[in-house]
Amino acid sequence: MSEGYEPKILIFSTEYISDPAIDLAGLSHKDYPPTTAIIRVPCSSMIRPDYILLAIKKGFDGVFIAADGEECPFRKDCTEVTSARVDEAIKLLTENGIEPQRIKMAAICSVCTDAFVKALREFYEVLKKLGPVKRDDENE
Amino acid sequence: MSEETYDALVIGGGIAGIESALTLADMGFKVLLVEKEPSIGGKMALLSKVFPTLDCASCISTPKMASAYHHPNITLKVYTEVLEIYKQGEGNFEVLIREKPKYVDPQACTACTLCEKACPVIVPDEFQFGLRGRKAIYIPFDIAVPKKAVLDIKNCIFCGQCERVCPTGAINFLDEPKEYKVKVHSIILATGYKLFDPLKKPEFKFGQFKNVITSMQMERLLSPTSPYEGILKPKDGGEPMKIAYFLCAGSRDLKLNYPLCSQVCCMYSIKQAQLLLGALPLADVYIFYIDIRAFGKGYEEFYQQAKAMGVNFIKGQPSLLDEKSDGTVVVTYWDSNDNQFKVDEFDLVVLSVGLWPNGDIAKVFKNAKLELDEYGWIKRIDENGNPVKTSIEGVFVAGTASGPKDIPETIIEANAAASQAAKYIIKYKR
Amino acid sequence: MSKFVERQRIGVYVCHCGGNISDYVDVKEVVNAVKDYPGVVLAKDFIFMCSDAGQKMIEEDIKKHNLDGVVVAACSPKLHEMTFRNVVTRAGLNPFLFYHVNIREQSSWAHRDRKYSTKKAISHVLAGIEYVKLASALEKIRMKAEKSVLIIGGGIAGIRAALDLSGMGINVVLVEKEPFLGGRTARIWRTHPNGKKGVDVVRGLINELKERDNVVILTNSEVTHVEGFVGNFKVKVHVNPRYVIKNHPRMKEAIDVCPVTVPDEFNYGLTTRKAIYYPYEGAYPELPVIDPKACTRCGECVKIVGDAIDLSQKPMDLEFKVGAIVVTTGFKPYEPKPGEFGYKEYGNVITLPVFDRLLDLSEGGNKLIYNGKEINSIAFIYCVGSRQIPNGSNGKVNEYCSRYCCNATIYRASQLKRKYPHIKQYHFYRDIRTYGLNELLYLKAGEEGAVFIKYPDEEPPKVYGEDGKLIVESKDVVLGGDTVRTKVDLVVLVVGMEPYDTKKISDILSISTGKGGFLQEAHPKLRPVETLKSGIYIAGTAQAPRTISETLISASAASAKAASMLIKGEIELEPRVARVDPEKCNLSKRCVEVCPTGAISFKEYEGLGTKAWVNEAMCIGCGACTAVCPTEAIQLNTLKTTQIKRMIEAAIKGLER
Ligand SMILES: Cc1cc2nc3c(=O)[nH]c(=O)nc-3n(C[C@H](O)[C@H](O)[C@H](O)COP(=O)(O)OP(=O)(O)OC[C@H]3O[C@@H](n4cnc5c(N)ncnc54)[C@H](O)[C@@H]3O)c2cc1C
Ligand SMILES: Cc1cc2nc3c(=O)[nH]c(=O)nc-3n(C[C@H](O)[C@H](O)[C@H](O)COP(=O)(O)OP(=O)(O)OC[C@H]3O[C@@H](n4cnc5c(N)ncnc54)[C@H](O)[C@@H]3O)c2cc1C
Ligand code: SF4
Ligand code: SF4
Ligand code: SF4
Repeated sequence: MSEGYEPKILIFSTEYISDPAIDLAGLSHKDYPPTTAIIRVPCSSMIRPDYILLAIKKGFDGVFIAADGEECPFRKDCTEVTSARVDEAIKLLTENGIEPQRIKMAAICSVCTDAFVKALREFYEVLKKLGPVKRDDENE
Repeated sequence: MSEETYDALVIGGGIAGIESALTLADMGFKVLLVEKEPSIGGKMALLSKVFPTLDCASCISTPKMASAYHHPNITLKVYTEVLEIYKQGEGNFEVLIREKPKYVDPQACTACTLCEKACPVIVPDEFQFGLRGRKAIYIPFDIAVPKKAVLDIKNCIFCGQCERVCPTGAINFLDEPKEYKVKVHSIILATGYKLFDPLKKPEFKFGQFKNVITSMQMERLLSPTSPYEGILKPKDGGEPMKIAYFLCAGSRDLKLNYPLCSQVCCMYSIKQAQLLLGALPLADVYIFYIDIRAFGKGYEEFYQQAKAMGVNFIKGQPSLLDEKSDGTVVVTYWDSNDNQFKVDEFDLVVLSVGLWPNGDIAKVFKNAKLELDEYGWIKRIDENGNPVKTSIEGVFVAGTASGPKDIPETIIEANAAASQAAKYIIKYKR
Repeated sequence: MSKFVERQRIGVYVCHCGGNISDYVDVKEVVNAVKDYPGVVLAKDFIFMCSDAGQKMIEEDIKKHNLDGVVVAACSPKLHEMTFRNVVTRAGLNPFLFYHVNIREQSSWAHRDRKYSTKKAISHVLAGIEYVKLASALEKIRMKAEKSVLIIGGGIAGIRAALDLSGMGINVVLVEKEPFLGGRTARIWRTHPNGKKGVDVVRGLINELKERDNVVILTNSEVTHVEGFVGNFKVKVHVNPRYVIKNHPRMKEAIDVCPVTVPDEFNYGLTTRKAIYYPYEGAYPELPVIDPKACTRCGECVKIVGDAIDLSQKPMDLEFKVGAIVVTTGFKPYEPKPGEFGYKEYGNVITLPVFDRLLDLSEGGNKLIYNGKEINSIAFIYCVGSRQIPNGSNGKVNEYCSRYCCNATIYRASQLKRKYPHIKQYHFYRDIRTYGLNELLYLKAGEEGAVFIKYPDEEPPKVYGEDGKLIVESKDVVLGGDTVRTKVDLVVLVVGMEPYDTKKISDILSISTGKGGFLQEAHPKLRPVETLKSGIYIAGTAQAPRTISETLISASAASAKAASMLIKGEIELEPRVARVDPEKCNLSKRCVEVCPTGAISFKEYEGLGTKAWVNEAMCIGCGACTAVCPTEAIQLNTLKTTQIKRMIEAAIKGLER
């Protein structure tokens, strides 16, 4: 595990709620790990477990779901439904020999920049400790 | 030629006029939008970022400017004035319009800026508030809509350079004003405000001390389309380390016979202070105030945020004493904390200039009286009933034309005016 | 389903945003990174892509290079997605073959290291390109819309909106929870800046409302349920009985004979009323109401007016279809905590709303009497319940400024001076916020001799009793922090505004509230009277503290926006809906379980039998169904599962460069 290891994180954001929060984090120049890529979806309840597996297989070190939480404009039970998908994803990862800590979900309200930055930084540290993903097709 | 007819005439293409026009046009009404300058956008298009969200002003105004320009129900006339308006019964106004000659064919101009480069004449640029010069033929500003050159004939020396370089042959020295009449069913006045001219108050030493600038100049310096690279002291081009804001410059001032508060200068100064701390992390910013008027949604929180960031707020009205040879400005003020007069030095003094009335439009109403208040703002005749009504039935007011206000309020009021105009049109249109 | 062909002629546009992006993202590098990417035929950068020139460039390129897809990498899509969709449309390309990539808020502004922000930008752009490759051309869904609007809250905001909408030919259902219209304004003594009485402000609006024949007014009523979507909302309204069902020439007598007397809440208990009552002269509707909690069912009133009163009247539940909803549920004055500035500790510490009723009820005389004692001096303490400073131990506080209160109080100072010139006034304030033209009110009050004392933000005045009088003790900032003590007969707490039960209404409507609990607008400048839920608008003090004229203006603005949506009787909806490929559907029915709106049912497909089917008008496009379908048979039109997968693969390529 090299010193300069920088985990790469795929972030799923939601159009109305967490994406604006991430925008706001940028607007107020709050520092968060830059080795991230953001894909926005309408609602976090639409994230398929196999997206997460795919992301990690293809080279991401972790997936962060910036969920709608209570503010979800689509559904009140958003957290519940999204959590169900995350649980499925955790199972899927485990079946594939990947540490379940590589997925993280946090509800990020549309102005919760601090919550976002904090959660992401923590996740980054967790991934850093885990080290790179052991992929079958890779030889160290 | 038969006269064109429109459902509504909107006078003034600032954010208020644009918003009113767009809302009416979205309802399906035909709108004529008239702006006297060569671009729409008004003051907002020239601002840096806007309080309290700190999103950039152009990001909000440019899409609206562009959609007003492209909307199928909006006819946009820039560089155009309204000369006379006659009311001929409810729902029926006759309007005399004058399009000023641009000496450039807008259809042909591609905004390539070759003419600007070729033109030898340099005059102060009104859109940069004197911070920079422009040519006699010029494109108003970076995000102008429409983005076309105009030739300022007053300053042109008829050297013909632009005509020679223009790749599309757009320049026409023989262009003439066009005057014509249109009929409209209703009118919205969105003629905005005038900036207080600090020369009116010699004590501000504006124009004498180089490092005394206005807040509007600071907006330009802070904007992404800044005429300079960064925030510089006009005197020597160095970075200012200690900056003072004088609030209520040209507002709440009985000596100027202008007691009104300008409603936005506390907030825009706090905004600028925050932006300055971002741009110049080592700088100190002092804000001298009478009252901090942070009353809108999220504004008090924005003010508290500035305090937490280290902006210094001092209650009291300072005065300028002297200018040192390096341009440093010496200021004296009453420090109420210590109960004594203090003298301090600043690299840059920003005058938070107020919003003054622009009641000129009253003159064009020839057979009906548009009432102004005692200071010259367009008067709301039913403040607590239907606030966008003016003294003339069928004529409504939007934005800062009826008094100082910030952008959110301006936009809301523009929509209110649109709804009153729509009602009026539906009632009287035949 | 026809065979899908990937887009092969994509144009990519990278904006500098005048340095906002290009200072921290190497835009040239981004262009280089994608210009030879499969499917991309051209990639360009420009100073302001949203400017007219930028838009023109894209438009012309689409035509000239026959582009079949466009990616713009610029600011947040919240700002310009629509702008560019329109550009693409103008050039004759389907707007859904466009993807807006955020490289400003989420890249150049977020990260200070140019190397990283450039990588991230490239990653986002690559994902955007993959999105466009698999995007389908979509048409907006056109739907018939109800040309009617539900307005919730019958204060001046609600009434103004009702007037404007009905005047534009749109039918209105106005629902007010209380038995009468007018809200808080009716209780105001004299309104700034013109001195009109609060009840007259309300009456003026009501008189106009009476002339409208397309407004249904339901008082004593509450909205209990809302379903549907813009253009087609179904709402349920619960109407509580008024018991008085029609007018009668002897109604006044009926009120007089009522034996029950209770404190009158309209006057905050300063007076009493009967169980059958009008709150004030000229209240609307012009029918008294019977307060069921106070009424003993003695029947005395019935003896006089007979069948004009029906004590057995039952509540009703009504249903309406409306195209849009305007929420104007207003505010409530802050209620100080016991002990806060002596409130509830000393009898003569009252709030501004109560003081206003006192002034109104005292109109007749030339003495101001409270609690049986003449008032000769008053201290006003400003910012009570507003601009509170959180200190970790005081829990949830109101950090915002309530905006109306400086204006209202200072106006009262002058009015008080006119009517009771002998009363001494002391104003303990933090900043006097008589903004704009209201400054004249402040100037006048000062000239008339009202005394103003600026107290420090962190150290509010103390109120205590001494020899039957009240003492207000405070530091005076202007006097260098010296302490002043004033002895007064009455302390008026200038209380702020709090949102009125917005929690309940925002739950029913699924809209959000912001900091402080006021209803949240979609964007303070771009969409100041809209919510994130299409077809639901907000106005008045339910959104933020406002004065009367500001309230009215926002109500007219909300009307304009609602009208522009409905006036044509038809609306266009974004085609972001789920669709089923019946050939793939294996009837797992998992989609049905997760759909929040019940949009999915089953129908017969020719030759395929029964398969899932989505009602597009009900689908809100959350996509939850697409996450559970085992065969990926159900897909969101605007974000297919294959698109997301390809975006993930592309994104990592960008980061790994
Ligand atoms: C230094 C400064 C900073 C500011 N910062 C902020 C901020 O951060 N946030 C915020 O919310 N607000 C801010 N404001 C306030 C903001 O500028 C105004 O709220 C807003 O621009 C008002 O728009 P308007 O359309 O009413 O007026 P204007 O922008 O003045 O537009 C009026 C338009 O009408 C045209 N016109 C005038 N007369 C005629 C005529 N007779 N015929 C044809 N056209 C005519 C003018 O040329 C102009 O284009 C700031 C103001 C200043 C001075
Ligand atoms: C003491 C005091 C003095 C003031 N003086 C002035 C002044 O001098 N000048 C000035 O300009 N402004 C003044 N104001 C401000 C003014 O009162 C407000 O601007 C105005 O009342 C706001 O009107 P509104 O319609 O938004 O809200 P409200 O008046 O609160 O009306 C909201 C209405 O909605 C109803 N409602 C709430 N929830 C529901 C629901 N779920 N279903 C149905 N109905 C519901 C309520 O019963 C109420 O009738 C003063 C305010 C106070 C407190
Ligand atoms: S040279 Fe011609 S085309 Fe170019 S900006 Fe000038 S007028 Fe327009
Ligand atoms: S807004 Fe502030 S700076 Fe401007 S005039 Fe009013 S009090 Fe003075
Ligand atoms: S996208 Fe959401 S609303 Fe639409 S059918 Fe699927 S689950 Fe239902």
